[in-house]
Formats: sequence, C-alpha cells, structure tokens
Amino acid sequence: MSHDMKDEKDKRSIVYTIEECQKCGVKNKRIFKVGDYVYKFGGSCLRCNGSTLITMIYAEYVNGT
Amino acid sequence: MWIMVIGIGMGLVTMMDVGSMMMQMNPLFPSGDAQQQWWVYLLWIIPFFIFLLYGQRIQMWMVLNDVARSLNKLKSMQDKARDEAIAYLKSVNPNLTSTERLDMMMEHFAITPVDMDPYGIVRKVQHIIRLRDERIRAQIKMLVPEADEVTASRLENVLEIATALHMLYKIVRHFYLMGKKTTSMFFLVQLQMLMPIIMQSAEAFNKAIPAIKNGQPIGDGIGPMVVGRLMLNREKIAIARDTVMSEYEYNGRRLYLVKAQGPGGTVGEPHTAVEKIINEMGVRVDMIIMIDAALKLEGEKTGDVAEGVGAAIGGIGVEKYQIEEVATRHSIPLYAVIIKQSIIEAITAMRKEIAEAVDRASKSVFRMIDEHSKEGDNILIIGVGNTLGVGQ
Repeated sequence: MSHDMKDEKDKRSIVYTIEECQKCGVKNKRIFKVGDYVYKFGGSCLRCNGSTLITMIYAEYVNGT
Repeated sequence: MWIMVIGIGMGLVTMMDVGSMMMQMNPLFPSGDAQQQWWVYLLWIIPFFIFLLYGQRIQMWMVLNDVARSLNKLKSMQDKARDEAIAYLKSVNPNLTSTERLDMMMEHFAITPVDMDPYGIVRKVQHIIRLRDERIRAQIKMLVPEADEVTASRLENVLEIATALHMLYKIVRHFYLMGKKTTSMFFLVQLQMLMPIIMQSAEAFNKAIPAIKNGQPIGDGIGPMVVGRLMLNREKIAIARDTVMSEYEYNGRRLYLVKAQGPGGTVGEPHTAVEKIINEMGVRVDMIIMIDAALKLEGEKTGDVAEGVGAAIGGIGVEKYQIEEVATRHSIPLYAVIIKQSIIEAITAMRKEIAEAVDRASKSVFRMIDEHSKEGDNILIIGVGNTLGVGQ
C-alpha cells in the first residue's frame, strides 16, 4: 500500500459551503447542509442582509479517526 | 584504483566480522567432531529440501492468503455499497419493501457490439450505451416514482457505484477461484500484482457514496463549475439531454457555453450539443475550448491547471469521437484546459485545492480566447464532467 493511500485512510473530511454576499461581497464559511449547491442564490448576508450566492463547496481533510 | 583498494579492505573487514560472529554462534557452525554435531547439519539440509520440493506451494499459499484478504475487504465494500443504495432508496420511497429489482439492476449488463468490422462501431456503441442509460432511468422511475430529477440522478449515481463494486468483486473472485481450482501460479500472481490498483479503485468508489447521497460537488465537477459561473444570470436553453447552453458577448466574440444541467448528478451530452450547435443551429464555430478534470501523475499537485490541444473528455470514447469528428470536418481548433487530480479526488467530495482552481482555469480560458481568436469569432466553451452539486 502506498504512503498516499495510508494517508488517505487516516484522514476524515469536513465539507464546507462558502457563501458570498452579492451586495457587500462578504464571504461566509459554514458547514455544508443537504440542499446546498454551487451557484445557488437565496441565503441572506449576516452583515447587510443582502442576497448571497454559494460560490464553493469543498472538503477539507483533518487527521483523526 | 583507490576505490578498488578501499573495496578490498572493506571486504576483508567484513569477512573478519562474519568469522567472529560465527565463532559466537558455535553450535550452529560446528568445527569439532562431526559425529557429535550431526543434528546441526540436518537443521540446514531439511529446510533446504522442504523449500526445494514445496517452495512453489508455499509461495502459492502466501499469494492465495494475500488475495483472499483483499477479496474479503472487497466483499465488505460491495455489501456496504449495496446497503447504502437500499437505505437511500428507502429514504426516497419508504413504501419500498422488496430489493429484488435493485439486485437485478446490479446484475444488469450491456453487450458491446461486434468489432470484427470496426466501421460504424462508435454509433453502435452509442446506441447501446444510450439504451442502457434509458433502461436504468426507467427502472429507477419504477422504484421511486415520486422522486424529482435531481434525486433520481443521485440515485442513479449511487447505483452505478454499487454496480461497479459488485462487478469488481465478482471479477476478482472469479480469478481467485480459477487460480485456486487450477493451482495456477500465473492467475494468482497476476491478480496479486493488480490488487493494489483494484483496491485503490474500490476505495475510491466506496468513498464517493456519501458525497453523492448528500449532493456535494465531486472533483470531476470542476469543468461544469468553471462554465456554470460564466452562465450565472444568463438565459439557459436545453440543447441536448441533461445539457444546457447560454450565449454572451465577450470582447467582440460570441461565446456559446455548454454544460450538463445541474445540480443533479449527470454528465449530460456535450457531444450532441456540439453537433446541434454546428449542424442544426448553423453556428460557424471558430474555436472549441473544453474544460475537464484530468488524472494527475503521481507527484503532480492536485488542482494544478494545464493548457493543451485536443478533446478533453473521458468516458468510453463515443463523446470524444463525435466532438473530434465535427471539429475535424469543420477544421475547428480544439483547445483544452485541464485541472489535475487523482482518481479518488475525482469521484469524492471536491477538495479545496480543486475548488480554488476555478479562477485559474477561467483565466486560462480567457487568455486562450484573447490569444487565439479575433473579433467576430464564435467560440464554444464546454465544461465537461459530472455536475453533481453544481448549478448554473
């Protein structure tokens, strides 16, 4: 088994959603919720209450069991 | 010369060391009365004959054990994938009681056309593949009649993974049992050599299920993600099955954007879209740019963007053939932008490094347009890949 494959096994992932406000441009990173998809409108900005767009959904890997 | 002297010197030192070591292990290297030490000679001779006569059997037993361990792991992966598919099916349709149809779907097969006369084989393969897809969709519709298109496409993806793992397990089991039955080392050693790659693919399939069930974008979705961003706030029309198109002006050029319709888990039919835009809509296309995820070589960095020429599209070759055919017939230059990733990264939840490559891939596309086209040109930009979790 290659070193890379061993590394993959030792990691677990957390999927995040990045929302971007269409008005003030503020980005918000939160845990992914079922129903999210990239380029989905509809959320509201935490700062200016403007409409947000999901620009990215990605997994970050952390070491653990 | 000096190297030779040093080499001989080191050799002598090593021999002296071995000599002193053997003195310490005296009972195993007897120097005294041979009659008193006969058992020591037996200790060397018996294993020698055992290995001479049964060496291959011992080796085969070790190989069999090794393959059996991997086979058991593959079986548990296959069972897990089946259970996940059933659980997902039941979550969509709680009234579902029998899993008989699901098991039949996992055994479903497609026979490839005869290739003794290869003329026209691509059309035949396309026909069979289309028929298979339609059949699977119809079966899913029967299993979950109330499901919307996005849920049905996710279910289709989960079932594809469960079927792939099932096939992988059956093939490995076949060669394992054949090797055992025929006691053929050739079967077993070949299988043992291939097992790491097979297990890597199985691992990738296994890890893909949670992302697909939750509708999260996968690494392969980077092409549709680049084009989806360009389509935002623009009118989209259905151009082929599960495929959408948008148009807009950029620096005096007309851009035709094509991607699979998201956020369902589908790759669409970009080849049909190309054919329709050029032949049915009569658009004089001056340049085609394809954006796709590509398998990286070991040592390459995930998310690296590279530019090249040719049709950047995977699959069994039908789509690639059709796009190349149209491009060649109309002498349209084909450019490609690829985003590098491993097989596991391509089918599991999109990694940050890949998602962040969107900007770099977009820059590459517009640089290509600026450098290789002129005002008034029509440019076709295709985002290739599974658009799961990626809208437009």
